[in-house]
Amino acid sequence: MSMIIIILSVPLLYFVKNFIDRRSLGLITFVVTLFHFFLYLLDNSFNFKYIMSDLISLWFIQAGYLALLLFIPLVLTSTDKLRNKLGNKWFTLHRLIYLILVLSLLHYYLIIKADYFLFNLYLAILLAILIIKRRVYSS
Amino acid sequence: MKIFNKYNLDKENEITDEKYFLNRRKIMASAFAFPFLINSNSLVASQKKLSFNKDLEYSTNEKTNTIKQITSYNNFYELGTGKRDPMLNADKLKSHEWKLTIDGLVENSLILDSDDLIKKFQLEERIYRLRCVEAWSMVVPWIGFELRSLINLAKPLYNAKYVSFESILDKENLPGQKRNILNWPYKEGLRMDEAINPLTMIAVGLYGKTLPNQNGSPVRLIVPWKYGFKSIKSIVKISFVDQKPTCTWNEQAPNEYGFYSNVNPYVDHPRWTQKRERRIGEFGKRDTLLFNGYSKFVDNLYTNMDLKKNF
Repeated sequence: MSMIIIILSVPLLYFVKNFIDRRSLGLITFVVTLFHFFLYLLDNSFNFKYIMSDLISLWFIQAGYLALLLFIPLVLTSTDKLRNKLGNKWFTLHRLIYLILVLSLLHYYLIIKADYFLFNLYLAILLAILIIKRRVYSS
Repeated sequence: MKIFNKYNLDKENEITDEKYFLNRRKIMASAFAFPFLINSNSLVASQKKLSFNKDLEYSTNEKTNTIKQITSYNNFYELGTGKRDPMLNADKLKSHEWKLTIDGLVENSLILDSDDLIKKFQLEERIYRLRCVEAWSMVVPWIGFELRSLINLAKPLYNAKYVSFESILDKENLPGQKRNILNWPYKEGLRMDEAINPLTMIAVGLYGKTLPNQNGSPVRLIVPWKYGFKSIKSIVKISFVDQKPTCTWNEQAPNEYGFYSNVNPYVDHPRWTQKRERRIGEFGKRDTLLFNGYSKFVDNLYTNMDLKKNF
Protein backbone atom coordinates (compact mmCIF):
# COMPACT_ATOMS: atom_id res chain seq x y z
CA MET A 1 0.00 0.00 0.00
CA SER A 2 2.69 2.46 0.96
CA MET A 3 4.42 1.59 -2.30
CA ILE A 4 1.42 2.90 -4.20
CA ILE A 5 1.40 6.11 -2.22
CA ILE A 6 5.08 6.64 -2.85
CA ILE A 7 4.82 6.03 -6.56
CA LEU A 8 1.83 8.29 -6.85
CA SER A 9 3.13 11.06 -4.66
CA VAL A 10 6.50 11.40 -6.34
CA PRO A 11 4.96 12.81 -9.51
CA LEU A 12 2.59 14.87 -7.39
CA LEU A 13 5.64 17.00 -6.74
CA TYR A 14 5.17 18.53 -10.17
CA PHE A 15 1.47 18.11 -10.50
CA VAL A 16 0.24 20.23 -7.65
CA LYS A 17 3.15 22.55 -7.22
CA ASN A 18 0.88 25.57 -7.22
CA PHE A 19 -1.29 24.07 -4.52
CA ILE A 20 1.15 22.87 -1.96
CA ASP A 21 4.83 23.47 -1.85
CA ARG A 22 6.92 20.74 -3.37
CA ARG A 23 9.27 20.51 -0.44
CA SER A 24 6.54 19.37 1.96
CA LEU A 25 5.40 16.74 -0.50
CA GLY A 26 8.95 15.55 -0.96
CA LEU A 27 9.40 15.24 2.80
CA ILE A 28 6.06 13.46 3.19
CA THR A 29 7.15 11.03 0.49
CA PHE A 30 10.37 10.39 2.41
CA VAL A 31 8.50 9.79 5.67
CA VAL A 32 6.15 7.33 3.93
CA THR A 33 9.17 5.59 2.43
CA LEU A 34 10.78 5.33 5.87
CA PHE A 35 7.54 3.90 7.27
CA HIS A 36 7.44 1.36 4.44
CA PHE A 37 11.05 0.39 5.31
CA PHE A 38 10.16 0.17 9.00
CA LEU A 39 7.25 -2.19 8.20
CA TYR A 40 9.62 -4.37 6.22
CA LEU A 41 12.03 -4.55 9.18
CA LEU A 42 9.14 -5.25 11.55
CA ASP A 43 7.84 -7.98 9.26
CA ASN A 44 11.25 -9.63 9.59
CA SER A 45 11.18 -9.15 13.39
CA PHE A 46 14.32 -6.97 13.05
CA ASN A 47 16.26 -10.20 12.55
CA PHE A 48 19.71 -9.10 11.34
CA LYS A 49 20.42 -12.42 9.62
CA TYR A 50 17.19 -12.37 7.61
CA ILE A 51 17.57 -8.74 6.61
CA MET A 52 21.20 -9.18 5.54
CA SER A 53 20.45 -12.25 3.47
CA ASP A 54 17.68 -10.32 1.70
CA LEU A 55 20.04 -7.41 1.05
CA ILE A 56 22.72 -9.68 -0.36
CA SER A 57 20.54 -11.79 -2.61
CA LEU A 58 17.39 -10.00 -3.72
CA TRP A 59 17.33 -7.46 -6.52
CA PHE A 60 14.07 -5.86 -5.56
CA ILE A 61 15.35 -5.31 -2.02
CA GLN A 62 18.57 -3.79 -3.36
CA ALA A 63 16.63 -1.39 -5.57
CA GLY A 64 14.61 -0.34 -2.52
CA TYR A 65 17.69 0.31 -0.38
CA LEU A 66 19.36 2.31 -3.13
CA ALA A 67 16.28 4.48 -3.60
CA LEU A 68 16.10 5.09 0.15
CA LEU A 69 19.80 5.96 0.37
CA LEU A 70 19.61 8.38 -2.55
CA PHE A 71 16.67 10.07 -0.88
CA ILE A 72 18.73 11.02 2.19
CA PRO A 73 20.90 13.76 0.59
CA LEU A 74 17.77 15.31 -0.85
CA VAL A 75 16.18 15.51 2.59
CA LEU A 76 19.36 16.84 4.19
CA THR A 77 19.69 19.63 1.64
CA SER A 78 16.06 20.65 1.75
CA THR A 79 16.47 23.68 4.01
CA ASP A 80 16.37 27.21 2.54
CA LYS A 81 19.81 27.89 3.88
CA LEU A 82 21.46 24.96 2.12
CA ARG A 83 19.45 25.52 -1.00
CA ASN A 84 20.76 29.06 -1.32
CA LYS A 85 24.26 28.02 -0.43
CA LEU A 86 24.42 25.27 -3.05
CA GLY A 87 22.94 27.39 -5.83
CA ASN A 88 22.90 25.60 -9.16
CA LYS A 89 24.43 22.50 -7.64
CA TRP A 90 21.24 22.08 -5.60
CA PHE A 91 19.18 21.65 -8.75
CA THR A 92 21.63 19.15 -10.20
CA LEU A 93 21.60 17.18 -6.95
CA HIS A 94 17.82 17.14 -6.74
CA ARG A 95 17.53 15.60 -10.20
CA LEU A 96 18.34 12.42 -8.27
CA ILE A 97 14.58 12.19 -7.76
CA TYR A 98 14.31 10.81 -11.31
CA LEU A 99 16.72 8.02 -10.47
CA ILE A 100 14.79 7.36 -7.23
CA LEU A 101 11.62 7.19 -9.30
CA VAL A 102 13.11 4.61 -11.67
CA LEU A 103 14.40 2.56 -8.72
CA SER A 104 11.01 2.61 -6.96
CA LEU A 105 9.33 1.45 -10.15
CA LEU A 106 11.88 -1.35 -10.43
CA HIS A 107 11.34 -2.22 -6.76
CA TYR A 108 7.66 -2.77 -7.60
CA TYR A 109 8.14 -4.36 -11.04
CA LEU A 110 10.37 -7.10 -9.67
CA ILE A 111 7.72 -8.57 -7.38
CA ILE A 112 4.93 -8.78 -9.95
CA LYS A 113 4.01 -12.32 -10.95
CA ALA A 114 1.85 -11.87 -14.02
CA ASP A 115 -0.51 -8.90 -13.86
CA TYR A 116 1.28 -5.77 -15.01
CA PHE A 117 -1.89 -3.69 -15.32
CA LEU A 118 -1.36 -1.43 -12.30
CA PHE A 119 2.33 -1.09 -13.07
CA ASN A 120 1.56 -0.02 -16.63
CA LEU A 121 -1.01 2.41 -15.33
CA TYR A 122 1.51 4.06 -13.01
CA LEU A 123 4.06 4.15 -15.78
CA ALA A 124 1.59 5.78 -18.17
CA ILE A 125 0.62 8.40 -15.59
CA LEU A 126 4.25 9.16 -14.85
CA LEU A 127 5.23 9.46 -18.50
CA ALA A 128 2.26 11.71 -19.17
CA ILE A 129 3.26 13.97 -16.29
CA LEU A 130 6.87 14.11 -17.41
CA ILE A 131 5.87 15.00 -20.98
CA ILE A 132 3.48 17.71 -19.80
CA LYS A 133 6.12 19.07 -17.48
CA ARG A 134 8.66 19.24 -20.28
CA ARG A 135 6.26 21.08 -22.57
CA VAL A 136 5.33 23.58 -19.90
CA TYR A 137 8.96 24.34 -19.13
CA SER A 138 10.09 24.63 -22.73
CA SER A 139 7.31 26.95 -23.84
CA MET B 1 -5.78 19.15 1.83
CA LYS B 2 -7.20 21.66 -0.58
CA ILE B 3 -7.53 19.34 -3.50
CA PHE B 4 -9.98 17.06 -1.73
CA ASN B 5 -12.37 19.65 -0.36
CA LYS B 6 -16.11 19.25 -0.49
CA TYR B 7 -16.54 21.52 -3.46
CA ASN B 8 -14.36 19.36 -5.66
CA LEU B 9 -16.07 16.18 -4.62
CA ASP B 10 -19.51 17.58 -5.41
CA LYS B 11 -18.29 18.80 -8.72
CA GLU B 12 -16.92 15.42 -9.54
CA ASN B 13 -20.26 13.81 -8.75
CA GLU B 14 -21.95 16.13 -11.20
CA ILE B 15 -19.81 15.18 -14.11
CA THR B 16 -19.29 11.51 -13.38
CA ASP B 17 -21.94 8.91 -13.91
CA GLU B 18 -22.54 7.29 -10.55
CA LYS B 19 -21.97 3.83 -12.00
CA TYR B 20 -18.44 4.72 -13.03
CA PHE B 21 -17.87 6.55 -9.80
CA LEU B 22 -18.80 3.52 -7.73
CA ASN B 23 -16.80 1.25 -9.97
CA ARG B 24 -13.80 3.50 -9.53
CA ARG B 25 -14.25 3.33 -5.78
CA LYS B 26 -14.28 -0.42 -5.98
CA ILE B 27 -11.09 -0.38 -8.00
CA MET B 28 -9.48 1.94 -5.48
CA ALA B 29 -10.71 -0.23 -2.63
CA SER B 30 -9.12 -3.30 -4.11
CA ALA B 31 -5.95 -1.41 -4.97
CA PHE B 32 -5.53 -0.38 -1.35
CA ALA B 33 -6.60 -3.72 0.02
CA PHE B 34 -4.66 -4.78 3.06
CA PRO B 35 -4.92 -8.26 4.52
CA PHE B 36 -5.32 -7.05 8.08
CA LEU B 37 -8.29 -4.78 7.44
CA ILE B 38 -10.87 -7.08 6.08
CA ASN B 39 -14.63 -7.09 6.29
CA SER B 40 -15.83 -10.20 4.62
CA ASN B 41 -19.26 -9.57 3.19
CA SER B 42 -19.74 -12.11 0.45
CA LEU B 43 -20.04 -15.32 2.40
CA VAL B 44 -23.35 -16.11 0.86
CA ALA B 45 -25.55 -18.75 2.42
CA SER B 46 -25.55 -20.88 -0.72
CA GLN B 47 -23.07 -23.31 0.80
CA LYS B 48 -24.48 -26.64 1.86
CA LYS B 49 -23.59 -28.43 5.06
CA LEU B 50 -21.61 -31.62 4.53
CA SER B 51 -21.34 -34.78 6.56
CA PHE B 52 -17.82 -36.07 7.00
CA ASN B 53 -15.34 -37.94 9.18
CA LYS B 54 -12.39 -36.29 10.82
CA ASP B 55 -9.01 -37.50 9.64
CA LEU B 56 -6.28 -37.83 12.25
CA GLU B 57 -3.53 -39.49 10.25
CA TYR B 58 -2.56 -36.66 7.93
CA SER B 59 -4.05 -33.61 9.64
CA THR B 60 -1.92 -31.09 11.45
CA ASN B 61 -2.92 -30.01 14.94
CA GLU B 62 -1.79 -26.45 14.30
CA LYS B 63 -4.27 -23.67 14.83
CA THR B 64 -6.45 -23.27 11.74
CA ASN B 65 -6.92 -19.91 10.06
CA THR B 66 -10.34 -18.35 10.45
CA ILE B 67 -12.99 -18.74 7.75
CA LYS B 68 -12.75 -14.98 7.28
CA GLN B 69 -9.02 -15.17 6.54
CA ILE B 70 -9.40 -18.18 4.26
CA THR B 71 -12.18 -16.58 2.22
CA SER B 72 -10.82 -13.05 1.92
CA TYR B 73 -7.13 -13.52 1.12
CA ASN B 74 -6.98 -15.55 -2.07
CA ASN B 75 -5.10 -15.96 -5.31
CA PHE B 76 -7.68 -16.87 -7.93
CA TYR B 77 -6.76 -14.81 -10.98
CA GLU B 78 -9.97 -15.78 -12.79
CA LEU B 79 -11.72 -13.54 -10.27
CA GLY B 80 -9.09 -10.78 -10.26
CA THR B 81 -5.46 -10.42 -9.23
CA GLY B 82 -5.90 -8.54 -5.95
CA LYS B 83 -6.00 -10.58 -2.75
CA ARG B 84 -9.56 -9.48 -1.98
CA ASP B 85 -10.78 -9.62 -5.59
CA PRO B 86 -11.83 -13.30 -5.45
CA MET B 87 -14.08 -12.49 -2.48
CA LEU B 88 -15.46 -9.32 -4.06
CA ASN B 89 -16.13 -11.04 -7.41
CA ALA B 90 -17.11 -14.43 -5.99
CA ASP B 91 -20.58 -14.31 -7.57
CA LYS B 92 -19.04 -14.10 -11.05
CA LEU B 93 -18.09 -17.78 -10.88
CA LYS B 94 -21.08 -19.83 -12.03
CA SER B 95 -20.44 -22.93 -9.98
CA HIS B 96 -23.90 -24.51 -9.97
CA GLU B 97 -24.74 -27.38 -12.36
CA TRP B 98 -21.10 -28.32 -12.58
CA LYS B 99 -19.77 -31.12 -14.74
CA LEU B 100 -16.41 -32.70 -14.02
CA THR B 101 -15.14 -34.87 -16.88
CA ILE B 102 -12.58 -37.61 -16.29
CA ASP B 103 -11.12 -38.93 -19.51
CA GLY B 104 -7.95 -39.82 -21.40
CA LEU B 105 -6.06 -43.07 -20.91
CA VAL B 106 -8.67 -44.73 -18.67
CA GLU B 107 -10.96 -47.73 -18.75
CA ASN B 108 -13.91 -45.78 -17.36
CA SER B 109 -14.45 -42.25 -18.56
CA LEU B 110 -16.65 -40.46 -16.07
CA ILE B 111 -18.74 -37.36 -15.81
CA LEU B 112 -19.52 -36.27 -12.27
CA ASP B 113 -21.96 -33.52 -11.35
CA SER B 114 -21.96 -31.37 -8.22
CA ASP B 115 -24.15 -33.88 -6.41
CA ASP B 116 -21.93 -36.87 -7.25
CA LEU B 117 -18.95 -34.97 -5.92
CA ILE B 118 -20.37 -34.74 -2.42
CA LYS B 119 -22.27 -38.06 -2.34
CA LYS B 120 -20.24 -40.61 -4.28
CA PHE B 121 -17.27 -40.55 -1.93
CA GLN B 122 -16.82 -40.83 1.80
CA LEU B 123 -15.86 -37.30 2.76
CA GLU B 124 -13.34 -36.50 5.43
CA GLU B 125 -11.95 -33.36 6.97
CA ARG B 126 -8.22 -32.85 6.63
CA ILE B 127 -6.38 -29.97 8.20
CA TYR B 128 -3.50 -29.11 5.92
CA ARG B 129 -0.90 -26.40 5.74
CA LEU B 130 -1.06 -24.37 2.54
CA ARG B 131 2.12 -22.61 1.42
CA CYS B 132 1.83 -20.04 -1.38
CA VAL B 133 4.74 -19.42 -3.76
CA GLU B 134 4.45 -15.76 -2.67
CA ALA B 135 5.80 -16.77 0.78
CA TRP B 136 2.64 -16.70 2.86
CA SER B 137 0.82 -19.65 4.39
CA MET B 138 -2.37 -20.75 6.10
CA VAL B 139 -3.79 -23.80 7.87
CA VAL B 140 -7.05 -24.90 6.30
CA PRO B 141 -9.65 -27.54 7.29
CA TRP B 142 -10.54 -28.94 3.86
CA ILE B 143 -13.28 -31.48 3.29
CA GLY B 144 -12.97 -33.97 0.48
CA PHE B 145 -11.57 -37.34 -0.50
CA GLU B 146 -8.28 -38.77 -1.70
CA LEU B 147 -7.65 -38.29 -5.41
CA ARG B 148 -6.68 -41.96 -5.56
CA SER B 149 -10.25 -43.06 -4.83
CA LEU B 150 -11.32 -41.17 -7.94
CA ILE B 151 -8.41 -42.70 -9.86
CA ASN B 152 -9.53 -46.18 -8.73
CA LEU B 153 -12.96 -45.49 -10.21
CA ALA B 154 -11.55 -44.32 -13.54
CA LYS B 155 -9.04 -47.21 -13.79
CA PRO B 156 -6.17 -45.62 -15.73
CA LEU B 157 -4.42 -47.69 -18.40
CA TYR B 158 -0.84 -48.89 -17.92
CA ASN B 159 0.51 -46.10 -20.17
CA ALA B 160 -1.05 -43.26 -18.17
CA LYS B 161 1.97 -41.55 -16.63
CA TYR B 162 0.60 -38.15 -15.70
CA VAL B 163 -2.67 -36.58 -14.62
CA SER B 164 -3.64 -33.27 -16.17
CA PHE B 165 -6.19 -30.88 -14.66
CA GLU B 166 -8.08 -28.10 -16.35
CA SER B 167 -10.03 -25.27 -14.75
CA ILE B 168 -13.13 -23.42 -15.94
CA LEU B 169 -13.04 -21.20 -19.04
CA ASP B 170 -15.77 -18.55 -18.99
CA LYS B 171 -14.54 -15.31 -20.57
CA GLU B 172 -18.01 -13.84 -20.46
CA ASN B 173 -18.43 -13.95 -16.70
CA LEU B 174 -15.02 -14.30 -15.12
CA PRO B 175 -13.51 -10.81 -14.82
CA GLY B 176 -9.91 -12.08 -14.76
CA GLN B 177 -10.34 -13.94 -18.04
CA LYS B 178 -11.29 -10.75 -19.89
CA ARG B 179 -7.56 -9.99 -20.02
CA ASN B 180 -4.85 -12.42 -21.06
CA ILE B 181 -2.98 -12.30 -17.75
CA LEU B 182 -2.41 -16.04 -18.02
CA ASN B 183 -3.02 -18.45 -20.86
CA TRP B 184 -6.61 -19.43 -19.99
CA PRO B 185 -7.94 -21.87 -19.00
CA TYR B 186 -5.70 -22.55 -16.00
CA LYS B 187 -4.03 -25.96 -16.21
CA GLU B 188 -2.04 -28.08 -13.80
CA GLY B 189 -0.52 -31.52 -13.71
CA LEU B 190 0.90 -34.22 -11.47
CA ARG B 191 2.99 -37.30 -12.01
CA MET B 192 0.92 -40.46 -11.48
CA ASP B 193 2.76 -41.43 -8.28
CA GLU B 194 2.15 -37.93 -6.90
CA ALA B 195 -1.51 -38.18 -7.82
CA ILE B 196 -2.02 -41.47 -5.96
CA ASN B 197 -0.15 -40.32 -2.86
CA PRO B 198 -2.65 -40.45 0.03
CA LEU B 199 -1.99 -36.78 0.84
CA THR B 200 -3.28 -35.66 -2.54
CA MET B 201 -6.85 -34.68 -2.10
CA ILE B 202 -9.89 -33.54 -4.03
CA ALA B 203 -11.60 -30.91 -1.89
CA VAL B 204 -15.29 -30.09 -2.15
CA GLY B 205 -15.69 -28.30 1.16
CA LEU B 206 -14.21 -26.05 3.79
CA TYR B 207 -15.11 -25.57 7.46
CA GLY B 208 -17.97 -28.08 7.29
CA LYS B 209 -19.70 -26.69 4.21
CA THR B 210 -19.30 -26.86 0.43
CA LEU B 211 -16.54 -24.65 -0.98
CA PRO B 212 -17.10 -20.91 -1.26
CA ASN B 213 -16.58 -19.71 -4.85
CA GLN B 214 -13.38 -17.83 -4.05
CA ASN B 215 -11.80 -21.04 -2.77
CA GLY B 216 -12.40 -22.92 -6.01
CA SER B 217 -15.98 -24.13 -5.83
CA PRO B 218 -17.25 -26.75 -6.41
CA VAL B 219 -14.21 -29.00 -6.75
CA ARG B 220 -10.49 -28.38 -6.43
CA LEU B 221 -7.20 -30.16 -5.98
CA ILE B 222 -5.13 -30.00 -2.78
CA VAL B 223 -1.46 -30.97 -2.93
CA PRO B 224 -0.16 -29.75 0.43
CA TRP B 225 3.55 -30.38 -0.14
CA LYS B 226 3.61 -28.21 -3.27
CA TYR B 227 3.18 -24.45 -3.69
CA GLY B 228 -0.46 -23.40 -3.65
CA PHE B 229 -0.73 -22.72 -7.37
CA LYS B 230 -0.44 -26.48 -8.05
CA SER B 231 -3.72 -26.95 -6.16
CA ILE B 232 -5.91 -25.97 -9.10
CA LYS B 233 -9.38 -24.57 -8.38
CA SER B 234 -12.79 -25.13 -9.99
CA ILE B 235 -11.77 -28.16 -12.05
CA VAL B 236 -13.82 -29.11 -15.12
CA LYS B 237 -11.58 -31.80 -16.56
CA ILE B 238 -9.14 -34.42 -15.31
CA SER B 239 -7.27 -36.30 -18.04
CA PHE B 240 -4.88 -39.22 -17.79
CA VAL B 241 -2.03 -38.75 -20.25
CA ASP B 242 1.33 -40.27 -21.20
CA GLN B 243 3.29 -37.01 -21.48
CA LYS B 244 4.11 -34.24 -19.06
CA PRO B 245 1.08 -31.95 -19.18
CA THR B 246 1.07 -28.18 -19.58
CA CYS B 247 1.00 -26.25 -16.33
CA THR B 248 -0.06 -22.63 -16.57
CA TRP B 249 2.54 -20.97 -14.31
CA ASN B 250 5.28 -23.16 -15.69
CA GLU B 251 4.25 -22.08 -19.18
CA GLN B 252 4.15 -18.43 -18.08
CA ALA B 253 7.67 -18.37 -16.60
CA PRO B 254 9.49 -21.72 -16.84
CA ASN B 255 12.57 -20.42 -15.02
CA GLU B 256 10.48 -19.29 -12.03
CA TYR B 257 7.82 -21.98 -11.63
CA GLY B 258 8.83 -25.57 -12.27
CA PHE B 259 6.63 -28.56 -13.05
CA TYR B 260 7.18 -30.03 -9.58
CA SER B 261 7.06 -26.81 -7.54
CA ASN B 262 7.57 -28.65 -4.28
CA VAL B 263 7.80 -26.38 -1.27
CA ASN B 264 11.54 -26.08 -0.76
CA PRO B 265 13.33 -23.52 1.45
CA TYR B 266 16.65 -24.40 -0.24
CA VAL B 267 15.52 -23.35 -3.71
CA ASP B 268 14.63 -19.67 -3.89
CA HIS B 269 12.34 -18.10 -6.42
CA PRO B 270 14.67 -16.12 -8.74
CA ARG B 271 13.25 -12.83 -7.43
CA TRP B 272 12.41 -13.56 -3.81
CA THR B 273 13.29 -15.95 -1.01
CA GLN B 274 11.44 -19.15 -0.10
CA LYS B 275 13.31 -19.66 3.19
CA ARG B 276 10.61 -18.04 5.27
CA GLU B 277 6.89 -17.46 5.16
CA ARG B 278 4.27 -15.29 6.77
CA ARG B 279 1.48 -17.29 8.37
CA ILE B 280 -1.63 -15.20 7.73
CA GLY B 281 -2.79 -13.76 11.06
CA GLU B 282 0.62 -14.08 12.68
CA PHE B 283 3.19 -11.44 13.44
CA GLY B 284 6.59 -11.79 11.80
CA LYS B 285 7.87 -14.76 9.80
CA ARG B 286 8.41 -18.44 10.36
CA ASP B 287 10.84 -20.82 8.66
CA THR B 288 9.56 -22.72 5.65
CA LEU B 289 9.83 -26.51 5.89
CA LEU B 290 10.97 -28.86 3.14
CA PHE B 291 7.89 -30.27 1.37
CA ASN B 292 5.89 -27.94 3.61
CA GLY B 293 6.51 -30.31 6.52
CA TYR B 294 5.17 -33.39 4.70
CA SER B 295 8.57 -35.06 4.02
CA LYS B 296 7.53 -38.17 5.92
CA PHE B 297 4.83 -38.89 3.34
CA VAL B 298 6.44 -37.72 0.11
CA ASP B 299 10.22 -37.80 0.10
CA ASN B 300 10.20 -41.33 -1.35
CA LEU B 301 8.69 -39.79 -4.51
CA TYR B 302 11.84 -37.81 -5.20
CA THR B 303 14.73 -40.10 -4.31
CA ASN B 304 17.64 -39.76 -6.77
CA MET B 305 16.17 -36.53 -8.07
CA ASP B 306 18.08 -33.26 -7.94
CA LEU B 307 15.46 -30.96 -6.45
CA LYS B 308 17.51 -27.90 -7.42
CA LYS B 309 17.22 -28.84 -11.10
CA ASN B 310 13.72 -30.29 -10.85
CA PHE B 311 12.26 -27.40 -8.89
